[in-house]
Amino acid sequence: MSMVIDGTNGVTFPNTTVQTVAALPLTGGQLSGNLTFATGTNGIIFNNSSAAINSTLNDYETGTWTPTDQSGASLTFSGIAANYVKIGKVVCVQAFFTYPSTASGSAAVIGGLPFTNPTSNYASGPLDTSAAVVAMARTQTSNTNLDFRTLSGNTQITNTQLSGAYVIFNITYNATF
Amino acid sequence: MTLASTTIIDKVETLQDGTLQVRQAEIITKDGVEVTRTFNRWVRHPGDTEAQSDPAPVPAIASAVWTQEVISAYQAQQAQAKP
Repeated sequence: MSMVIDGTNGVTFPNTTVQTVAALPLTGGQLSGNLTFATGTNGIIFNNSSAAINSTLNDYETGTWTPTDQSGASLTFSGIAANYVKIGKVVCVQAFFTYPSTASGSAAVIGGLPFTNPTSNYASGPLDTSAAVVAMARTQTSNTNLDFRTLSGNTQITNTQLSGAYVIFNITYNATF
Repeated sequence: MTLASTTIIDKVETLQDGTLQVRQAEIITKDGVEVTRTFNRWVRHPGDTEAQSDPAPVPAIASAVWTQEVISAYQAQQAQAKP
């Protein structure tokens, strides 16, 4: 059960104990402490008409992740700055790094996304790069990889095309939960 | 005043297909009281050999969860055609 607030019973916590609003750590009418939910499945339920499981906000997290080369060319990126924000099951990832000089003709593939991308779930975002390509970043399904593809034609960008170039991208995708 | 930094694996989420989502936390304490906690994440899929080099308890969880059946099922799923 998640926390429920109503005008009659006050605040109800997962152990089903009903507390009055006055029992909360309030200072000047504002909550002065944290609300911590008992398990990862509890959260705030928004009372709309859909099922509760699809209306529960149960996660927020920020952190870093490490983009790695998954093209098979064993490339080492430099200047990595990569962050994520997860709100519910929505994950926003951002990354900035530089490709080494390479003659590898393999398709560029980046691994290390902070959450796995579910089956049949694709997401894409524009790619900002110093390379002479017009492309987007796109997640692969059922793994933590993404690749770079032309805006039309679905042609994968190769490592050679990104040799020595910086790449910046921002993608929003859905995690499994 | 004493500042200290500790790095731990504070969460490992096991998905239905056996994928492990690992969260590493760096905890900064001041005189024994936590003042900040920052996260770094990575994911290990069934059969990933890198998992055995991860900090505990990731190798143990991987060994327990990743049966040959789980690994084969994941690899078969990955082999399916994708756009």
